Amino acid sequence: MSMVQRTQPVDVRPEGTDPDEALEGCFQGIFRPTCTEELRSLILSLSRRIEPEWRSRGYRSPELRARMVLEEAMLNAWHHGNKEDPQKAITVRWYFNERFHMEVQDEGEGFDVDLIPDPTRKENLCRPNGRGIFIIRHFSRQLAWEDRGRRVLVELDPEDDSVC
Amino acid sequence: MNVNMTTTDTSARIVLSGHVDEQGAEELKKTIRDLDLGQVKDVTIDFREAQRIGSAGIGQLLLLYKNLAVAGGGLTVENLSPTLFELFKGLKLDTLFTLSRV
Repeated sequence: MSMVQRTQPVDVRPEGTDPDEALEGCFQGIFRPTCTEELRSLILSLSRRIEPEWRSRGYRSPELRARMVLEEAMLNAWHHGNKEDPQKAITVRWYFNERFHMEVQDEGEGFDVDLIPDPTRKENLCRPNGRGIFIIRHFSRQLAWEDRGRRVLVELDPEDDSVC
Repeated sequence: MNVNMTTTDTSARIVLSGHVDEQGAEELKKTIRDLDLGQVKDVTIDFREAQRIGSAGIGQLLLLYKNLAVAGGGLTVENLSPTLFELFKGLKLDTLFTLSRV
């Protein structure tokens, strides 16, 4: 049985950043869940870690939008990216400026974003899966992929969180 | 998440509370499995006390909708928060079943 490795978010501030402004820096957590249930627990812990910062920066209901984006991105990385392989890591990095920036990296084979079926097309409406990316996009100000789809970059704006 | 279901002869009402995340979706799946779709034609899911639903939970709603539609029944989702109502509309779920917001 493989050991779970989980780093507490560590300060990886860019060089030259004021060390007294730790919350302005970039933080990262590296997760190697052994099962989906453990991943759920990790997502909960991580969102509780970030939630006070979300609230202090004006996100009125982070347990809705921000949490849903975090959850869907990490579940995608686990299920579709890493194919639930506990040897592969899910790395989450985040920082705040005017917005909340987050990237979730998996160690899978990547994917072509353009080939993801649109769940709102008539032929896909009844499919029970394939809505994770839509949910991330719906709640995000910006969404992009790098590293052949293995890294998703998300921006959330507190103004988008004004209606809950 | 908590699931509370009441049934009459041909209808059922499922009240969700909490977060319908992946784990919540599994609980919802078990509840739906307990439905006698030979008898129950119309199902209402009440979101008044549900704060959040993820893609897995929405998938369970769609499986339920498909099973009901095959049997000539229907699904109603009511008391969605404004945030979830907009999400469901964005997903065009209002073209499949009836939605209402709080």
